Amino acid sequence: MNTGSDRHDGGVNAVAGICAVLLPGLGHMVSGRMHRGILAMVGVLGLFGLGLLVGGIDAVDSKSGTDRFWFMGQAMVGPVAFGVDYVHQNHFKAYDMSTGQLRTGNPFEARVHNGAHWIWEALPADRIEAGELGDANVPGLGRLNEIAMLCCALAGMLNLIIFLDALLPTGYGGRREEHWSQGGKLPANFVHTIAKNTGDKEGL
Amino acid sequence: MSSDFVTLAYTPFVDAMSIHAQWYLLIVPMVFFVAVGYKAVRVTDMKRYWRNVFAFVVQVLGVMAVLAVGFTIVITVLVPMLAPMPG
Repeated sequence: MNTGSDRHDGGVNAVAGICAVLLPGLGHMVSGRMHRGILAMVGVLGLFGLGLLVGGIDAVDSKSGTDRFWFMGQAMVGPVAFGVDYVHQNHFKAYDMSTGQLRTGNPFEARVHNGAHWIWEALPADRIEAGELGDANVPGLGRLNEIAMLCCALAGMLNLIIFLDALLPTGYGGRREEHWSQGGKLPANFVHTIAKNTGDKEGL
Repeated sequence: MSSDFVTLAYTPFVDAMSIHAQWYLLIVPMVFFVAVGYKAVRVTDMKRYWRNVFAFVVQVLGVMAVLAVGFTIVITVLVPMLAPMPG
């Protein structure tokens, strides 16, 4: 029955699933649901971008303290989240030579390469005199940091829903709504089940 | 070096924003983006998409506002009545 909907019935769309993993909304686009795909992409990447805008790149961190647990949710955004984390780990962090730990810098620290690793060193006097604060990014603190990490993790969970919709392009709710809104008839076995559950003898 | 000599440079998407006093306003864009993404795969008829997004945002913000008022009443009225503090 043509319901006027762009929902597809039945089966697993593996190509769309793989594309949805690569980029939020891409799965819908390759399966011909361009409008839905673009809006899904705007939703997921907008939420992820909002998190980065509010909390900075520090909001995505797979290796630091409790932030790694947030990253489990953020990772569901896909390669974008892993890319941001890679940039964070490799371009904004350095080793603290006193503890041997990889960490975010503090104000008035310079990120320098000692031949083997990037390390944090005290900012040279001439750069301090020039008014510089150092090479460290400003990390998010308190509620803002929590909101930023939450935004990125919510984006991941939202993308999981979108991925499943791309991989399994049928929805019980959607089909049921289409039938009722279009005045169409439900499948006989479906009517039978409803009648059985509600005690409707005519339906049986 | 004088303290007023130093100014904090802000690089979008790298440095954290300094909007600590307005943190609660961030729920608005957060809910909007959740609604845009979620309704993109939930609405049956895309002609009603933006109306559904708007309804979703209003519902979430409305419930949040009601909860905020409710908890404010509990904290400022009920708790002091049930467990009055000396002095």
